[in-house]
Amino acid sequence: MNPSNYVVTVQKPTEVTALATGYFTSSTQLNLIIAKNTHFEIYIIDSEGLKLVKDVSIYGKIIILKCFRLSNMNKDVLFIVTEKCHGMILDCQKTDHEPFDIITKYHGLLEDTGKESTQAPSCTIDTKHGLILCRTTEGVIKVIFVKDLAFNESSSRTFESCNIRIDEQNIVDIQFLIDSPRPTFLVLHSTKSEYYFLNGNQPEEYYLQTYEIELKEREIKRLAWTKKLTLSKASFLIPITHNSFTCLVIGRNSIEIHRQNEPKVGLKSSLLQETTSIIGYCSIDDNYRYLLTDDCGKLYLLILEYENSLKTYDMKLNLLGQVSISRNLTYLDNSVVFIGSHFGDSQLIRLLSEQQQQQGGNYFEILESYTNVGPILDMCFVDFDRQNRQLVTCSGYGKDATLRFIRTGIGIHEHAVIDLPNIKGIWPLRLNNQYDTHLVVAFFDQTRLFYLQNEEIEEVELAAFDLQHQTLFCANGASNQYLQITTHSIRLIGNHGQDLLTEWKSESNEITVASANTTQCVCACGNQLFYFEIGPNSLKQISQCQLPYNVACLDVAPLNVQEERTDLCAVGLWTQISIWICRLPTLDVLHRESLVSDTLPRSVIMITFDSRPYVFISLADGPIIYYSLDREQGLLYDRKKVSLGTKPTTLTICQQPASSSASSQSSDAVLFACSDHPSVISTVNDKLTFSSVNLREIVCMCSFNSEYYGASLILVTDTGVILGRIDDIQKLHKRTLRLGESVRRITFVDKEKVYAVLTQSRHECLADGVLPVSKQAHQKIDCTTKIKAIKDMAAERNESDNSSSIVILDQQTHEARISVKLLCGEEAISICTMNFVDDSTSSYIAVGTTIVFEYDNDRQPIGRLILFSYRSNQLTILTEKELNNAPHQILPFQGKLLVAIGNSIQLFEYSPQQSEFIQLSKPYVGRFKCSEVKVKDDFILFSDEIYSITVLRYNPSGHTFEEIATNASPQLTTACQFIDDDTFVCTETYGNLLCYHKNNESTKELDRNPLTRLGQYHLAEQINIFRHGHLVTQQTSESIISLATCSLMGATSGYIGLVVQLPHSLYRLLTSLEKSLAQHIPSVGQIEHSTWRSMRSDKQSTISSGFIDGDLIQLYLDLPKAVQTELLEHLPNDNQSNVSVEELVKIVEELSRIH
Amino acid sequence: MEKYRAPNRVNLLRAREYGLEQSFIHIEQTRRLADFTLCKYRDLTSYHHSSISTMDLDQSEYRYLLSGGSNGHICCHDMFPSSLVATHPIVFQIDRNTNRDHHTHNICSLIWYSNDNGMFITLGLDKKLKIWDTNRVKLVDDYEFNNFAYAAQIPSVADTSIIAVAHENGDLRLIDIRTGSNSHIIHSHTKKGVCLIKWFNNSPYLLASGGVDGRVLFTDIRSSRNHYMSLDRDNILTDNDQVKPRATTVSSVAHHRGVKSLEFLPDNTHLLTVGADDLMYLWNINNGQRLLVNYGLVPTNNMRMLTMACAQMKHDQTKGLVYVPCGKFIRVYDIFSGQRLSTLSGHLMPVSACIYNRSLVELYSCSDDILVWGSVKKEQEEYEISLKNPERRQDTTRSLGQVLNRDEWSDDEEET
Repeated sequence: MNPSNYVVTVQKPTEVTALATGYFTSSTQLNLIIAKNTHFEIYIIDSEGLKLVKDVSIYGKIIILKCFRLSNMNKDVLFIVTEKCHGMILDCQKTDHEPFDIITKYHGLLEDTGKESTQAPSCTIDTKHGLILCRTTEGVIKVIFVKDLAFNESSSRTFESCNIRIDEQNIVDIQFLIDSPRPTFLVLHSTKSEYYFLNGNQPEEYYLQTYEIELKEREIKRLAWTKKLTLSKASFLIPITHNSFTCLVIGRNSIEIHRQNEPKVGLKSSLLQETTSIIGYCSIDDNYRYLLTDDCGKLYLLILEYENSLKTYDMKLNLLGQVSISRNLTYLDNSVVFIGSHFGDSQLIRLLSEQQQQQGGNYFEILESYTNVGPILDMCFVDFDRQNRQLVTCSGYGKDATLRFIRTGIGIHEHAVIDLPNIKGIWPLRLNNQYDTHLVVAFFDQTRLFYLQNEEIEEVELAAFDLQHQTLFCANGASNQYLQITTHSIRLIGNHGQDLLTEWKSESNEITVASANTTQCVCACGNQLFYFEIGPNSLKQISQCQLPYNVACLDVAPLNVQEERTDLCAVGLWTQISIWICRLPTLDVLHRESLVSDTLPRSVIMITFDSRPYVFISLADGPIIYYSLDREQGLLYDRKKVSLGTKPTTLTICQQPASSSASSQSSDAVLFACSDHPSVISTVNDKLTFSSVNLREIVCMCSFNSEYYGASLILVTDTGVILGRIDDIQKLHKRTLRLGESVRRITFVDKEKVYAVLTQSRHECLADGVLPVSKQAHQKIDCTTKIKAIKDMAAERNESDNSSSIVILDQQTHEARISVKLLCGEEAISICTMNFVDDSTSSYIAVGTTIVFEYDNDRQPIGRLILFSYRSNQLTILTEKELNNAPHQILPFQGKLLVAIGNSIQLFEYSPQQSEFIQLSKPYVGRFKCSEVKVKDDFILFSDEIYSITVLRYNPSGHTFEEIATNASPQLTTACQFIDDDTFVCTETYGNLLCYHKNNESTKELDRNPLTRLGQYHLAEQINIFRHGHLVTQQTSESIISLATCSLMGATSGYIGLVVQLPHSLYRLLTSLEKSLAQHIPSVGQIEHSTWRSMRSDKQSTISSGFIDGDLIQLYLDLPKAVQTELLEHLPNDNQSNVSVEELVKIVEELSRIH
Repeated sequence: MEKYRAPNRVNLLRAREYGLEQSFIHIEQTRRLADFTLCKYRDLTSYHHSSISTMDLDQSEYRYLLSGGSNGHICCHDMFPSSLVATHPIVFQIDRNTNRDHHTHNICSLIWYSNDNGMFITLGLDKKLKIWDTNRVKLVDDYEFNNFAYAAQIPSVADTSIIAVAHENGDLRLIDIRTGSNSHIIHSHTKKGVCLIKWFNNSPYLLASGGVDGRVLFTDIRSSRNHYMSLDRDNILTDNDQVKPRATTVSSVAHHRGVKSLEFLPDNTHLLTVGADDLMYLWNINNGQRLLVNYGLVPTNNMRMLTMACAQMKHDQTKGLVYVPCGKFIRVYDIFSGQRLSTLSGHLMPVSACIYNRSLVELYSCSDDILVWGSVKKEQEEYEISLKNPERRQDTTRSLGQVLNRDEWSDDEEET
């Protein structure tokens, strides 16, 4: 068995892990740099807000990010340390081909063999003496000397650094004194002076210690000033004056100033309650004001007041309002603050003065917010009618908790919707205006005209327009005329639509298809093809020809948008299904291309993308075929086929309206494919991309440049017309539903089209003015119990502020329909929907709950299983069952209910007659608590909390579980998933992805079959959940990749990844491509790709294998053609498959389309 | 015991889902550590006929347990899987029937090579040190000495090749297995002999040696001095300002009688020693000060050498346990308070060594047989209940046979 997994990022991490500001991109431009786990984003701060200029991926998880400037530099550089202790100093420069080129100046491994610290790593920089101090391992301080950095050198050099032993253990924070003549630093550490070990239960104590660095000897010298603190959980140390030992120490709920030889100054404020917990701070420019945040999202302003020339201090604390819960915040400029959140959306806020106080009582206004999907606690995958795949995630915590609806494709921003069924075609017209004002709408046997002014729409009649017949084509002419082609005639209209200038009627038949541009016109009557030139007042028939079969579609669109004329005409034929290219004006046939298809062409379009002409043909059963076009010869070559929908597809060119972001390609034309799976065809980096549009079914469309709405689109559905604008061409679209209370689990009830979520609200973490979703519900139910043990336990705990609920949300409106409130202290921890075999009419929702005590040892845990039936908005409690442990997972399994209770797995059946749960089979008892369970056919895969994964088989005849395979070596599994019957993947807390295989061939009669490990791969993400499925519908019919084994994974950082199995030959090819790409593509910070992806757990490192890094593979597409060829020629493991560059590009393109 | 309480699992799991709790495993391990009990249904395929003098567990997979008997026989068991009911097979054995290069006398030291488990080193009282290739179970190299050697060790950090050997005449011998040189000798202890040697956990240059004279010396092998520190039992760490820290002197002793056990704590800053004076001391290795922890008397029962096992929690240094063999029992102490938490009983003969498996969170101990200890009390009870349930008999016959053989243990346990 060979491993063949492909891992790719669907969404990069979104949680903010570190922030820095500085003049990084240039010496005049202030930047905000936001680190999000494995990548960082550089924003330029200007008067309009933040502008993203660069997103840089790092081969590692960023744990330290600092911006600094030495005295000999004219701009700032960036210092980064990753989780695997790779350090780097980066510079940003403008180069010829890249406005913001990131250059690694210095790099090095800052790892130490020592005891890993339990405290978060801390780092401080003394720019005056050019020193960086890092504390990552216990008892050791790493000093990096940056004084003599040569920043004009082009190549990267390794750091000059040394380790200095420090006696203090458990260092919480470490800070240099500002502008001290000798490098002096302060250390905040918790009590680990040894004799405190000895007498056990000492209260928490913290110490301040001062040190000086002897630069020559490379030693540290302890200074006299030391201070014992009695703060609760001191967490931040802020030196506040220059050149003297004065510092601010912030604890969980206390703020103190400590000075040498002076008594401490403590802050007394009613705002600092026992429950408050300050988790973040930033200073405002002037160094006597600080912003603080606490774990409920409250934002405080701390003001230091100096008196008597810095002799005495006083402090004042003001509450500013509530923002997203944030550990990282930074003050930018002009009262603007960036709040980088872990639990909710990041925000850009502007602080207001007291007079400007907002209505809600906030002393700030939110300027913008930035979506953060993390932490993803649970996901469910919803697939409506095959087209609208969406992923719903439970994200965030407390008041910032949300449901996020994630789908891929292009969103339409709707301006207006008009009900108007049965439209066959639609065209815009400009009458006396530089903007489009009128709409010509064709119906089966008539045409109607609409006039749009501002938001108003009215039906009008213009004398010269033929409204009795169906319009086939309509357009503005070159010189203030209008061309209307109906089934009856071709009409050239002048004088603002009042006068008919000329009309041409076919002698024999009615016109079947037509196409025109501003000066040329073609139309077909059956198999007769006519070509006209449009003069100022005339319509001149230039040529005519007869084709063997009836014409199905026509196009004379100029290949270049700026041109008015074209000398080519594309014709699609019936019967002999083919595309003919004719020369204009003679209508000589240049090329005949058979389409090799059973269905007729529905529309044909000639269009230029990136100065390469293409011909696109849509077929009546959905797929699109496209060719490259040789303009001189009229030849078609390089055929490609993409299947989009299943219904007839119509292609329309539309000028892509300038999207909200100033992307460079805004003026380009894009092709809109209208079908049951509407898509936009455009080019990105010289590649054609097919992006699906988040709409149901589009009959036809046109672009409409309205004065009021700006550049817009008119999209016709079977019931009406949507006037809207395309959102940025973007991969993922996220819609947010704020819940106002924590949400932990979600499930989708397919039959009733509702979501059921488990929520929990804690009183102290609620937002002001936001009602938790469980309180919003139309119908509220209290869930009581008849089980005595649970009733007693719940009665003991009368914490009314902490309640769990089950909430039913409507799938369409997202309104809370029903909420079920659980008992006091009872917490819902698992949910699933299912149908029991005997009763398939109603949907059942099963919920597992437990009563939580602070310590495990206190009580025997207890739980219950509650079954609801849900039918046409009625939720009924059917039964409950007492369990002797917490049910961590519930799953439907062969029409029964599989429950992981404590360390056992049990199967229950619901008996409607007795309306109670019947336990089937003996439980399977494992050694450790089961955490995640997955089922496939008869197989059950589960991971336990501290051990590993196990595979069971259920034997239905005897109702027994049989353990088939288990992984012997322990690892801390967080989630697991079936790839197929014999292959499993799981993730563990150190951020690794592992793949296991069950050995079926083994003939040995062993008690247990060990699972063999097929591969390991470092993700640097803590994955919480796996879900089968993928966000895109597969487009290409002749696909080499099967998405059947696809799984999405969601992480605490908001990362969404995808794992899929590849065919083995492809896997081999891509492995060698990955290797050569890893060598060719320079990494930021000089970290080797193999080091980055090698599995790291508990200080042991194993080289990655069995997984392909899709993120790296996709970079192949961005390389210049010459490099692509060169890489392919020099593939390691000599390239036997003999793939050409084009084929390889095609493969990689296809891979890049699966997410 | 109070401080080994752990937060509720549901709360912990929730914190982990939010990405807040990184020390989940350590908390779980703490919980389990304090709750060790004999794994009655786990057997090691029996091999040794004489008493077992030493054991070692490989540190790369935490899977293979080497054990050496007093008759010179060596055997390796696979400790996977650590399920409730298991019989651990013998991976290989070295004795006169299977290998002509076997040891003929008591095995003093067994050492897995620190980087991988492809190599291990054995030292016997036949004055021979042998280096073995694990995969082929073949002798690669051997060294013969003129006088007895009692202990040998190789540093646990990567890229080291120096074996330190403790001789009966007080010499420390350094063997570089890369070059094969074995001539470097440090005369550090008196003629009475040195019986124990341990490398520092985090340094390939520093080693501690314990002598029959009760001295514990720290040596830097790069330096020309014999030793740079000698532990002194009167050099006490205290917060009393009256007591001045003492400089260590040549004559200072750590124990009044011979040193029987040396064990570095996983935090790399402390050392535990046990002497023939039946006392156990905790030292700070940076300044050589003794911490005032009273463990009470730790009877050593004339065992020549003891191997203690230390388990320390990464997330909280103050939580550390040491398992000390005391006659037929294993005592569990809290390292920093000195409190005796529990006593593990199950051996019928004096216990000579304990090995803690930090990956599987279980303890191996040996006397005339090897026993496995783990936190399985509840699972075992459940299993016993299920055994008594007659329905179950059918499908567990295979393992039941082994279980029935061990039934005497379950009786013992019920009495206690």
